[in-house]
Amino acid sequence: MRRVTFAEKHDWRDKMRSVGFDYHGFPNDYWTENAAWEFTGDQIEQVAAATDEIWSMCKKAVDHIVSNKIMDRLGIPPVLWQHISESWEKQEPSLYGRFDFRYDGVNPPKLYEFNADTPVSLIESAVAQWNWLGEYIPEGATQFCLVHENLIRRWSEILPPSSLVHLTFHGDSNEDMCTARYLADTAVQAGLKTILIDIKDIGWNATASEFRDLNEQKITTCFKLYPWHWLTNEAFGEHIFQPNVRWLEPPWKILLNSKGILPVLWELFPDHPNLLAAYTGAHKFEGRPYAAKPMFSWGGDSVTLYRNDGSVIEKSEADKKAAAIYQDYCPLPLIDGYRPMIGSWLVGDVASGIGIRENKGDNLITTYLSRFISHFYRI
Amino acid sequence: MNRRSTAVVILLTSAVALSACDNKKRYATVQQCIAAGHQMEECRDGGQTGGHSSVIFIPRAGGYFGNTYYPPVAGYVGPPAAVSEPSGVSGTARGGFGSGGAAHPSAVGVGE
Repeated sequence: MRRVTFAEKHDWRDKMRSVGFDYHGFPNDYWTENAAWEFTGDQIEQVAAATDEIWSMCKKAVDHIVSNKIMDRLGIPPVLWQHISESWEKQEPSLYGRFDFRYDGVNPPKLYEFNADTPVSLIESAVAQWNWLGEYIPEGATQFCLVHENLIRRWSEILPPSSLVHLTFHGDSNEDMCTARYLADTAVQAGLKTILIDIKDIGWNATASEFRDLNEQKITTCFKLYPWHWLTNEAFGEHIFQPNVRWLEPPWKILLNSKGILPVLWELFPDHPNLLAAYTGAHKFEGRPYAAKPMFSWGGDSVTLYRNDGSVIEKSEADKKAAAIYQDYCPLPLIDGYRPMIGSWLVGDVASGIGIRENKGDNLITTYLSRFISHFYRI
Repeated sequence: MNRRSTAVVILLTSAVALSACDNKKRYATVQQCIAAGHQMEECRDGGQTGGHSSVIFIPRAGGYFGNTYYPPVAGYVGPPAAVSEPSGVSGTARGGFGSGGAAHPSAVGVGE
């Protein structure tokens, strides 16, 4: 595993825009073409195997949480408990998710967290970096990049042909809109009909007890790039569990999106090589460095890293939510002056590819400002 | 051999298309690409190795995507929306979702 530099081509911005990736410059040169991470095939295998393994453990953990009625430990409000249980018992299908790993090319990948509800950096991983490969290393190398194919396959597993699916997103975010638009396209290629709708435009018809789009079309299946714990706290939240609408991701995925899943996994699978020790109390790490995280957050928000004497190593400034989960300190590896974090994509039940975010050496917490870097491995 | 190994072997050596969609296929050689029904110019052998390149890209005419919403247009906000009826006419209330984003600290979206 090493970082390789390239001379970027002058027209890459236009090419990226042409494939639907038009937020490449935000924030702060988010996307760059002048470097990539090189792996060996065995290393890719190691990451894929860890993804499969952790996904298997996650499903056992959900079963454990539902069976033992311990959703309060994950910060789930009581109003959701029954719906989550029903969703799990019905085995409502999941579309996709992304595990964030600490990986150095040698030691087993370690799970930082699972972005199970509203994962993004999808176009970058599924499309943009594949195009990058074609531009910069057209011969003798490939990528772990099956997200696109597997999304199409997964849609066709979830819904019958010609089904209508609405895809909703927060319209103030270009990134979210592009991501929803890309997912809509994979659904179309799976033979489905799609309608994109800003989350603010979703209507509730009290007479018919149904959600509707702007054409008064009933919403029966809805992919939401919008977190469950917000949906349920908003004005229409009381209607969200109508039996006549199916949501993607399904309600049970909120259990995996909560960082409260990390202590549960550690409890069920102690000392597993792909897990970091995690607890709901910091005292477990007395005398050792650790990371403190809130139950729900995005992009490294409200994460603090502590030394063994309790002093702060690094603290993210944004969001400032209260810490709820404490995880073993395991800093991103420093390789060639940079700190890569591996985002490993799961589509359905299948490990489907990786996308890499990196910081320069001094920064330990991966945030919105961390750049996306392509990867490849030699054949 | 796990599923990943199988997929990689298919990807690299078997010259089998990975999905039913024609948008992104990879063939081991230009000859195999042509044999699968593609035109020579479609079988882009980036290495110009006379057909020995291991990775061949087959961009679909018109782009990578299914072209339902692509190619993207700057400022695109989804398919044309019908004019929303005034509240009380259709009985459909709107604006009951989406407030969370306003409180979100980052302009880069609510995804993770």
